[in-house]
Amino acid sequence: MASTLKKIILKSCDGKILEVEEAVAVQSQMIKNMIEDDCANEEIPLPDITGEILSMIIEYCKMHVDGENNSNNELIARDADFITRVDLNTLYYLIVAANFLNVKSLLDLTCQRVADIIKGKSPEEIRLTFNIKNDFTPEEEEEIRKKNAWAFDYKD
Amino acid sequence: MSKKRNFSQVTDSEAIDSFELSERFSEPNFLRKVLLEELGDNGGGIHKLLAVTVHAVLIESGFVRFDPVSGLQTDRFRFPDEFHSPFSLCYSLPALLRANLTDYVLLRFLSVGRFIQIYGSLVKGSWIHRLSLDEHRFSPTLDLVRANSCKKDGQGSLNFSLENHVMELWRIVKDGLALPLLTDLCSETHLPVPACFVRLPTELKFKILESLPGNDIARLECVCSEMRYLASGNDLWKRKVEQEFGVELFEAYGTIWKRVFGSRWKERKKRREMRKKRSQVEPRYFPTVPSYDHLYGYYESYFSDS
Repeated sequence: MASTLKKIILKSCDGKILEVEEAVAVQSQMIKNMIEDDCANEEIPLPDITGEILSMIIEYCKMHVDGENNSNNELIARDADFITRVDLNTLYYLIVAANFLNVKSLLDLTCQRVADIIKGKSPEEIRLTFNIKNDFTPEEEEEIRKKNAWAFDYKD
Repeated sequence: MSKKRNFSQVTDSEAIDSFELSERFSEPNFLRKVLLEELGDNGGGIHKLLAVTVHAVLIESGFVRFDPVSGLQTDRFRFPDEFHSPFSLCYSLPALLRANLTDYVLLRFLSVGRFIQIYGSLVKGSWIHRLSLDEHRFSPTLDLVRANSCKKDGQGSLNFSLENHVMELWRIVKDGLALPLLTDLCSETHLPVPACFVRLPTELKFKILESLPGNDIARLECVCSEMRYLASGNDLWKRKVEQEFGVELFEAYGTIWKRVFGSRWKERKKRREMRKKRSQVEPRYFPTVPSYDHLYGYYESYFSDS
């Protein structure tokens, strides 16, 4: 590609302007489509993404572009490093933003992280972790727990 | 005086303005600054260091420390030189202080052997969130952070593995204490609740469900009615059966795949338990019992004759 050094300008919802190399920006399928449609010559406003989240996503994309020649294991280790630093609140915004920008590998990574947090937890622990309200009646809850009793032997 | 509260914002915007994206994870630096402010050079025990860390995470999450007697925010605050257990601190949110709302968060610190237990709850009653930090696990990390913080200039960057350890501690405190308390306080006082898993669009929740093993999905079903609904798809369970037990399945019309999953799960468990029992029993008792196998033929013929 001749235009690898072309810069794409992104604007977050809180007014932060970020200049990103095209090779990094096209990790986002959405931006890639915009470039192909020739709509990316001016700054691209991102209405629901804060500067903080956007810079994290760019850091992630950069890591993947720079690490293209690295082994798969190395990339996985870096991904793990990246995602374990993230708290639940930030994780939520990262998922929403990765989905909007359509960065598939990041969306997979973040969703897998939520799944990993759920894994091995009891319903009470899950409610507590994600602040989910129990809206079952006691009878309903008893019934569904009975139905799924086989799944409660996980702590053996 | 409000310098402390603005640190995270300052470091974030600096990071973005200068495009130094690796600076984005500013928490260790933030922690270092709080440690420097709170501890000065005189230091304190490891439990005090952990307590200051918890305090730093709460400040970074948006809380302000305040004095419940006067109802005022206390910007400048030093931990007592000697950390006496038990020890408690009160926190509120700037928006609540402005509106004169009286509910606030109470944190109690208790030293138990090498652990420091932290209990956090709303004063008007709520679920108590408990966190237990092991000094053996975190003291080397915190000592190093503090050693760095005493350099004052704040320029020396932390090495990578140390930074990861700090982030781990940070995340444990934030997810286990600060965010649950923030959520409780916000929902009690009708402020916007911090974003979480439930608020994700359905297709993304479904994507998360897809990457869980079947038994975790079954437990997730027991959490709330929305999860029960999300986890009810027959196709989802069919894929889970395939993943967990292989693909040699024949599909009869109207198969309820969740039921298949459950019964296979139980069967497998039973099989494993049997195998375990057998492997425990055999080597201990079998060799010591004399074998009469060679006589069986003899006795059988003896009895059948009579």
